[in-house]
Amino acid sequence: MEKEISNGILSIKLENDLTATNVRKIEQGIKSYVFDTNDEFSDVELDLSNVENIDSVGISFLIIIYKLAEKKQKTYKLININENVESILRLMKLDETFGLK
Amino acid sequence: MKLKISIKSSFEEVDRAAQIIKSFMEQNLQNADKRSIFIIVFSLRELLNNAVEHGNDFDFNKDVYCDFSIEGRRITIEVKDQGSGFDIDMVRKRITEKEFLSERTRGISTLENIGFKIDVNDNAVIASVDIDKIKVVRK
Repeated sequence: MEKEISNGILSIKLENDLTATNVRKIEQGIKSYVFDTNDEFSDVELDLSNVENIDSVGISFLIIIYKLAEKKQKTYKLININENVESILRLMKLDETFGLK
Repeated sequence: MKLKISIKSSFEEVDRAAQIIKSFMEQNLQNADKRSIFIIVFSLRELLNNAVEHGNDFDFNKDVYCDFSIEGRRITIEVKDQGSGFDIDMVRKRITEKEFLSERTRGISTLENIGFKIDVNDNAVIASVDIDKIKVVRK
């Protein structure tokens, strides 16, 4: 998992699929990035270019990070989303929540 | 055409089963687009995850059984765990963001949104769908 803060944006690039097995491994790390990092960023971007598969545990994880960002008054968006993953998020009516156009 | 798989109660085993069934579909479904196969694998994971987590409570001594069949354009997934079963009316709710965070309610209604018909028989869930009628949302 890569993390970078640049121009006020905290970018986190996920390395694997967002399925139950992987979410359990990365959840705590990402929560601490968003919660514990000093407030030198105003936006949170989650880069999903390596995410080819997702399940509902993964979707819940995306919502939880969104809630954390909202609590800290940061904007939140998902970038580089695979079309299949995006179609599931749209089906779940989460496109607006995640800033999908 | 039917594929029968049994797995131990772990998410790693769910990953393994999802890979096997995805390959089975790619080999045996004529003219199915990749998006539909992706959505079926998503749905399959939902059923298996629920069986592992809520049915068998991650008990490695309990198994999850999955029968996956293709008859023409009809896909049927039957997942059976060794837990005590559940009441489908309790989980058949409209998905909202809040409900999605509540682990127990999300699965069945998500599959129904996709287009699956769901039946529950004790600790078995049977989900079936016509592959050409899967709800695919595009931009």
